Amino acid sequence: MPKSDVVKVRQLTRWQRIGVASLFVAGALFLGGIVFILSGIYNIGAAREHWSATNFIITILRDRSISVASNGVEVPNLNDSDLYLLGAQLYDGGCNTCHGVPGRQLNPVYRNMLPQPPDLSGAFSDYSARELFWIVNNGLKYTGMPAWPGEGRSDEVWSVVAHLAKLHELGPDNEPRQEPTLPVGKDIAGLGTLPLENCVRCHGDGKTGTVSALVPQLQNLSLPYLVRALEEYRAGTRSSGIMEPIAYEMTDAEIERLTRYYADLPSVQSPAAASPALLERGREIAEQGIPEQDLPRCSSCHNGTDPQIPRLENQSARYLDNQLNLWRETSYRDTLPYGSLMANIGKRMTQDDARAVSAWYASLPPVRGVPQ
Amino acid sequence: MNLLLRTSMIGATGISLGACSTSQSALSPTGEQAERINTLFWVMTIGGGLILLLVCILAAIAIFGGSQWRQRLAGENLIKWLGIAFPVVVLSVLLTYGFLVLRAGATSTQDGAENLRIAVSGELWWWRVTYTDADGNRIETANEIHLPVGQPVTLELTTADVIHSFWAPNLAGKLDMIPGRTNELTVTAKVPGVTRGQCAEYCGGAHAFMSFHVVAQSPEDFTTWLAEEASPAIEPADAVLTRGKDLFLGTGCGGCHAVRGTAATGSIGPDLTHVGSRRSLAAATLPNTAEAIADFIANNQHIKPENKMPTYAMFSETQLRDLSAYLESLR
Repeated sequence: MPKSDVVKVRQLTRWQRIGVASLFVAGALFLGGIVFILSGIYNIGAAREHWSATNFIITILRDRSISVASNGVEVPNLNDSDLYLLGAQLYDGGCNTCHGVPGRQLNPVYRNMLPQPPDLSGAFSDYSARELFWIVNNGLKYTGMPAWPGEGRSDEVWSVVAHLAKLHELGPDNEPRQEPTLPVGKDIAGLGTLPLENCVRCHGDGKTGTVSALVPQLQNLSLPYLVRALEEYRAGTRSSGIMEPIAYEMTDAEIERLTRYYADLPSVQSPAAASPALLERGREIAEQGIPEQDLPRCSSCHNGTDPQIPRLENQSARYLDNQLNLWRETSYRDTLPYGSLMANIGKRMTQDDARAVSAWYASLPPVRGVPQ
Repeated sequence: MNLLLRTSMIGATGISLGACSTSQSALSPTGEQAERINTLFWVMTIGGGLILLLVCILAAIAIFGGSQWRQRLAGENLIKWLGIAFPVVVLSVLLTYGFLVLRAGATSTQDGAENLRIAVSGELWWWRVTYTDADGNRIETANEIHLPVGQPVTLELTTADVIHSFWAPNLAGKLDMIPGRTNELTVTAKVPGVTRGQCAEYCGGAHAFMSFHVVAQSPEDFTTWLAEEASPAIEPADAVLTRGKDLFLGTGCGGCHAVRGTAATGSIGPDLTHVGSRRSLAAATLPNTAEAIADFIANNQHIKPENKMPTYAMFSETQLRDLSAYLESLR
């Protein structure tokens, strides 16, 4: 028999057999997956809880992601009344829609979300400050938790985190909740209570001051400036997770009436003291600028001539300092026509310059009778 | 085809260069120092040309000449004379001649009198020019250097930021402006007239828009001009100009620019006390008209990207017109 007629069957090695079998298994799983997805037997409804196995996997995925992503976040001092008092108002203005009042049962609408928005008085038991900061700033996919609406405003996020820390410390029952009082002179023609309450909660009125030194006092700011600020918040060109959602709800008529309400109120903030050396440095910057840093004097624009440029007297040092630090960021509010002016100048300041000049303007009495 | 295109392009470039104006050219000197450079340039070019011709002839002989000629070329004498003695003599003479022509080491003063000194500082991207008058008053202007004809003037060259190079080719050679140093350049204008200069060291994005004018004028005219330049800005004569001035003082311009005689005392940008009398705007980038001023206020980041002036987009048409009319009136 000639050699070529012999039919040779090649024997597969053991690993080759395992490989072929694996391919079959993978193919079956893939096809099964496609059949599962297309058949529609999966119940996507929120009424149906996840399987415990799914829950287990999602929880690990979520917490690992948060933990890794929040690495390197620097935590400021959270036991700071300017932060947590403002944070409490932010919570009431935004978070409590879904998360409800701590310690009380959720509104049935949100109780039926999947996952159900957790009671945040326990947030600090589950996560650290930096992790909570990351969650509030970035939101969580597939849960309905939105990212912070004000891009680049991590300063606002920290106030919410500080509030959560306070909530954890005091417990939901001991948290002092002030009953809302009616704002001074609210009976101005045709103005609804809700938008005004939204303003007064943080900015105060003719009797109470601002809720925190991080909040500007709106008295003394000119009407055109206040109108422009609200319009920019509404258009999304001025970044704030607090003001953008509030301004979004406002009509032109409301903006007009609310700004007029504030323009007529008396100032309730008294000039703040600071060390003479700091004030002197601040005065120099405000009145002479720092030519070596190409920094023009503040008073060359902030002098009341153009009502669109805010006066700085009688604002809190902390508010001004926080704003100046935002202006030092790369692309903060770099929009025409007014924002780009200050965005250009703000980057020429150091942190110390900002502190000094803020203290100086906070030490000055309000200037009334600004051009309208 | 390609070659043809390239040749014709080179030809066209040559023609356009030939037609180039003489207002910024080292080949049409209007100052003593540039004249010397010009002389040296032509001596070098012609001398170098002659030597090149000689080399070409020798090479041609080596290739095409008869055996007798080639024999002579191969001789040792030719190497001794043309290869060693000739370069030594030519280079030594040239060095000495160069020193003599350019007056190396000599101080250029007139009758032992102190030179007029003008401080020129290179900034991103303009020139700050400061005169000191007989009483020691400092008079600042920008992007324009006025010189009395026939008098040596010492320019004190400094920089406020990066390395620039001051080059007014009709007047003198270029000299770098180096951080932390004051470099001195003495120039003597010989012909009245306006020429142009340019930053000659790459200094950032808008480097090409960093030029200036040199105005050489008779000593009498120069004195008159300096006295005018030293005077405070004129007061606005009508309602438009007054509105323009109020805008200038109220909306931040004075934080960076000075207009002497008003509350505007900024020193970051150019002094605008007599901006209307200058020959150009934005360091010889734009013509000096009210329209160009308005354009620069509202669009300066397009015209000169990344310059330090913020864009003033907030002014209405009317406000821009008032403001630019006021600035143009500052003559």
